[in-house]
Amino acid sequence: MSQLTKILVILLSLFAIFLCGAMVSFVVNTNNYKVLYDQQKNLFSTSQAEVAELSRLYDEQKGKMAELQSQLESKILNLQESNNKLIADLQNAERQSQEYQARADSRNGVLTGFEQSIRSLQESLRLTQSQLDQARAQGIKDSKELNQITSQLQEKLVQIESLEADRRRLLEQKKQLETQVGSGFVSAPAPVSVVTPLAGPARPAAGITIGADIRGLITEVSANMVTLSVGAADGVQKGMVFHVTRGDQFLCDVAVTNVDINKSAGVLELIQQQPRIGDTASTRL
Amino acid sequence: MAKLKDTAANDVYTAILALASLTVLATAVYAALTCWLYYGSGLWEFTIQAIR
Repeated sequence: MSQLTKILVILLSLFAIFLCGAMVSFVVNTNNYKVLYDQQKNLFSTSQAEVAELSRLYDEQKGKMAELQSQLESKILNLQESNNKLIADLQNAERQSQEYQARADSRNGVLTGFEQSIRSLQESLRLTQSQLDQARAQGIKDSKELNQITSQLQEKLVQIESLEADRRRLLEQKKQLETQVGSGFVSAPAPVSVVTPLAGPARPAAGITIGADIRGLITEVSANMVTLSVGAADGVQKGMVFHVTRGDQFLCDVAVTNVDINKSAGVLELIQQQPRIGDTASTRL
Repeated sequence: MAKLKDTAANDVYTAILALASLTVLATAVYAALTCWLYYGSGLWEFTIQAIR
């Protein structure tokens, strides 16, 4: 074997060993691309399935979203319509509120005026009531005085009638004496027969029995008072109660509050019907 | 004597060459087994696909 062959053998052996080492290290360090491919393929298929599922879910959600959007749009339209209606109602309510406020202000003004008027009317009513009370007291006093004067007048009339009877009796005696003197007979005077009876002493008119039935008619009718055609001359006294009837029908009672000579006035009580002028009033039914 | 010496030397170089050849063969077998283990029956298809 030549020297060159030996050198080539050595070099070839070294190169072969180096190449084998490099080949082994390469094979050891290389990746298993099939496994990686399978893994990637599985990942890809899984991803595709996920994409398909997500796409389906996306479509479903998209459909739901579109439906929800349409519903919400319809709701928004309805709400806008109701909002417009409510705005219109609010404007109407505000306008009505202003009108009512103006009316309330005017009513307040009117009420204030009414209150002032009522106060003035109450004041005038109190004044009139006091004047009426004074007039009633004065009327009662005058009535008493009138009754006294009437009784005195009746006494005077009785006295006048008695004096008139005395005068007539004296005139008859005088005429009889003149007749006797004219006939020439002078004798003992015959007793004079007097036609006019001798009147007794003057005495007041007989009083009217309180318990007797007094009947009269209604001559005036006002709101709650009536005027009767009988008065103190008929025996009516203050506080007596008359029963007002029309035919057989009971109408009301009248409590006498004011008594005049020939008329009296009272307030209505136990009103069944409103009395009229001409109805009968009596103390006994 | 010299010829005997030369024959022994030649055997040493032959053994070295044989050892190198055995190493190359073992490496080739190792690479082939590894590839077969990785790719199995689809080795050729994968190879063609990788080449394309």
